[in-house]
Amino acid sequence: MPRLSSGAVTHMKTHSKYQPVKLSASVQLSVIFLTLASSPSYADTAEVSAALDIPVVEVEGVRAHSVPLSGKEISERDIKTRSSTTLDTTRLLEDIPGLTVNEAGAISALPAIHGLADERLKIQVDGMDLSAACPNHMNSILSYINPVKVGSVKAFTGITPVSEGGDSIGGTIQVSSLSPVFAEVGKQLINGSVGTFYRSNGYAHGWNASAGFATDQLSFQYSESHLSSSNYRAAKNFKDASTWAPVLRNGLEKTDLDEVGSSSISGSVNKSLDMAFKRDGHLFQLGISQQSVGFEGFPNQRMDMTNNENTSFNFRYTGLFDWGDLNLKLFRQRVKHAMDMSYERSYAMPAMPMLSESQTEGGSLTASLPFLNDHLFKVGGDFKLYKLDDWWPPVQGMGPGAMCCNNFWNVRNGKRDRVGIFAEVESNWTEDWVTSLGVRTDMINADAGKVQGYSAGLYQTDANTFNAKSQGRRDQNYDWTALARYTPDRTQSYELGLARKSRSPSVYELYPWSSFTMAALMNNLVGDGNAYIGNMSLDPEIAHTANISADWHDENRSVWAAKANAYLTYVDNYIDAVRCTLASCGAANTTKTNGFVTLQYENHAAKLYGLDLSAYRVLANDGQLGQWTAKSMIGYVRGENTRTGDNLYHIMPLNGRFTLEHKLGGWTSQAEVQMVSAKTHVSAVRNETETDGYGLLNLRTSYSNKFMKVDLSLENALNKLYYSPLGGAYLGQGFSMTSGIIPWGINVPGMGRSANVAVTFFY
Amino acid sequence: MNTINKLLATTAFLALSNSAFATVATYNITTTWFEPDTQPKNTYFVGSFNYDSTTKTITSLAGKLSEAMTGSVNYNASTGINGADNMTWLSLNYQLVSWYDASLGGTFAATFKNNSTNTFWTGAGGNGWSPASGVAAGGIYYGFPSAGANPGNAYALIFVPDNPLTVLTQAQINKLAYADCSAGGIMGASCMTGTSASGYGSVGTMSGYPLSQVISMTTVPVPEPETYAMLLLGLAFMGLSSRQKTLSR
Repeated sequence: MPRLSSGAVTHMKTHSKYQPVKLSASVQLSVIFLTLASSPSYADTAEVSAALDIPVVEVEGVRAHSVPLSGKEISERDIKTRSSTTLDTTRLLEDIPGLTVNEAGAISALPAIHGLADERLKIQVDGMDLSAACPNHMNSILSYINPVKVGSVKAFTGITPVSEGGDSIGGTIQVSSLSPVFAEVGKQLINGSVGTFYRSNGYAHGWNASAGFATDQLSFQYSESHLSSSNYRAAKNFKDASTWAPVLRNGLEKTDLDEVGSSSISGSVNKSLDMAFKRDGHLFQLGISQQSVGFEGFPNQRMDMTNNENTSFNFRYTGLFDWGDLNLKLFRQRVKHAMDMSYERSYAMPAMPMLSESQTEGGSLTASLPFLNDHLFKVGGDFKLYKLDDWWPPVQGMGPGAMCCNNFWNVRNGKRDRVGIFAEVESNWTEDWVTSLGVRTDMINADAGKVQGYSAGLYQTDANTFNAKSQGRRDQNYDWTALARYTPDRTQSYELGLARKSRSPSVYELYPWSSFTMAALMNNLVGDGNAYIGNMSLDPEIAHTANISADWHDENRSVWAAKANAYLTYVDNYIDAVRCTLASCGAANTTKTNGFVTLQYENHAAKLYGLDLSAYRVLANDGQLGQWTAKSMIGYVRGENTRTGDNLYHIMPLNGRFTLEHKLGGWTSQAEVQMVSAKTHVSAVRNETETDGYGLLNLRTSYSNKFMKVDLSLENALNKLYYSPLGGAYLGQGFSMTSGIIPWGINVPGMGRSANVAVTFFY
Repeated sequence: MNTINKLLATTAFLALSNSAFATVATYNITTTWFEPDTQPKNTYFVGSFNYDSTTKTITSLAGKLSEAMTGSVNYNASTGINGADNMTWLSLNYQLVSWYDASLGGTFAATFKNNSTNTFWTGAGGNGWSPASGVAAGGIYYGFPSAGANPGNAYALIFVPDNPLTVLTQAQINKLAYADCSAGGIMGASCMTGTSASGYGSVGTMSGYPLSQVISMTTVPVPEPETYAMLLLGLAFMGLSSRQKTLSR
């Protein structure tokens, strides 16, 4: 039983421990991360081998871990069982232990790992390290890739190696497109697909198509997808007619009592052209993608996205050399983003136009160098240059006042530039022990220009205070990770990881400046309905994490497996929030417990700890009746602010997914029960509301062969009215520029029963 | 002689007259709407009116309305309008509506910025100015969707109890309202309003609601000694001139 380290897959020349392998159910690589993980599309040795046509050596053993034990990789096959009827790529991550989803718009949910969400994570799409460009994070990173285009998902949920992390404290999520395909030597390959889907709840529908042409060295792939949906409906009426009577004004678009206002999406289009060229161990990839969204409602925000245009260019190079391998990434993204209100919030348009433009340029260079046969040295650097303008044009026809007569500059000439370098060593000490040690440092420069409100007077005090300060700042952050894995035999592995990770505050945590309620309500990254003011004095968050994982299974993982992962994280300078005490926030702001409040970001300290459990067992495997498998996943996390004793916001209570899966021929069917306990640990400073526990039943079946794929599913089959603990405050209708009209204390309900169907044809 | 008698009678009446005998009196009024979203500034109507206690009617209601979305310092009654505060104040000089409400035991009156009640969009029904029609219209300005057609009106609706100097009950306070569709009070197409959920089904468009109202009697000037002296002198002069006329016949 040979053990193969992760190593450089060399072209026609192999190191004794770094041979390319085709991973089958019986290859055991005593590795922690694969060599090419820095190139997400090619993080898997087998993928690179296939793409580069390197002779593949088949070895018996267990599947390699391309992520640490504490993380998870979702295979293309598993993604495909979900992606056809899913609007939002983030939903594909729900099967990852420790990962939860903070609700937002139809395609813009925000992933969270162990209670740390959004910008505390490093989220990459095709290797691009992007950022949202919106005071509500409506154009979230994963909204830029349509689920049907996703080929692989990796999540580093426990300890993230420094080569995969940086400027994040909660883990890394890497979502990648389907890998390029090449023809056999001397042949040409033409492929394509066309598909459509329909979701009964909200009448969501869409179509997607792709076409590809390839030779043995060149590959072109064009794909396009469209989707739209009306408002979705909860299982039952969740609005009390008398409470909502003032909101359901004649002047506003009518919504039914079970209808979730501002939850529709229209004109969502993704187009991408992916080109690849390979030769002699070199792979070049160029991706050009455009995304536009005509309208996307946000039921837990006070505004909606009325336009979003994203264009990105993404170049990647992977080279395999005698001495190791090299990865280079360069990308550029431009976003034009507009917000205003749906007609369920305001009869008149434009009600409050808000615009932002951002430009992100980034890249990385990583070299992986095997040495002394048992060690792999990774060294590299990456950078990300982010520019942002966020301004709100005045509404014409008025005189000086709340919304006239100048542009309101929320963030002017915002900048956040990061440059980082890292070094990492993976070592195979013995048959049983593997370690990984890494260090990195990042320098983050942030700045913003002087600001102004719509007019003097109301905004002048805050603007003067902001403008009198220096906006420029520089952080130098240091991270390290240490990870050890012990594999005493072929049925068990144990992993201990320790890490220090840092994250500097984002532009939207630093620079929003106005305490005027209407303006501050527009700055909200978490969907709690409160108003937020930035804080230029914030220090970087520094997290110290301990993570221990265990993996037990039968020798071939063909019958059963169980995994446990426990973690503890202390975060110094954790960016939480405090009640605003300025006179402009009102005397009642500090004591209010039953309404929306104005908050300002402030460094505190936090402690998060929890447990992820996952397991599967094959119950029966009969050639005629197929394979029956039981799967389960349980997650628990607690998050506390150790400075104030308060609970952290948006922490998922104890929850589990229990699935019975059946596979026979081309059929895969699942019955899934999702159980969530009541959320009682709530953030007092934000007046977060509690939610009740619930259970949901989801049924799915999928049939696929070489030419077609059909997906049928019944989500929330029992039509249960429920409120996700991470759903946020329901703000989907009513005049939202003010703190007091929309009733407080109502959460966004989950979707009622929905029958979904998708059909895809391949050629 | 007749003339002298008439004169004396008139003089006596004038000399004896005081407020205790009047049915019409002038009062000062300050109405406050709390504005949670524009703190520390609130909306104030500061003005005066004449009240006829016999007919229970209000006339000449006029005053100024503060715009809480302007300026940065709140109104201070002791230093007066724009004494300490730097808010914009609108002049409301047209009392165009008033009615008696028997159930609440008092008289309503509204004074407007324009010589017209056109304030709110009428597309949702209503009379274009009442707080209820404002709530139904979402506070949208009259003339919507043409911003140029917005007359930029504003008003304050006040309530005078049968005895003007009694403190208002909460039920009476709940019915006080204002609207401001002028340049400094408008957000997009929505006017800034102040209403109560109890009184009209919703708080105002910026969450403002009526907080209090204080009515005080205008101070009646007490005649000084020299006034009486002038009066006597005048009477003497008139008597003298009358006597001169009689003698000249």
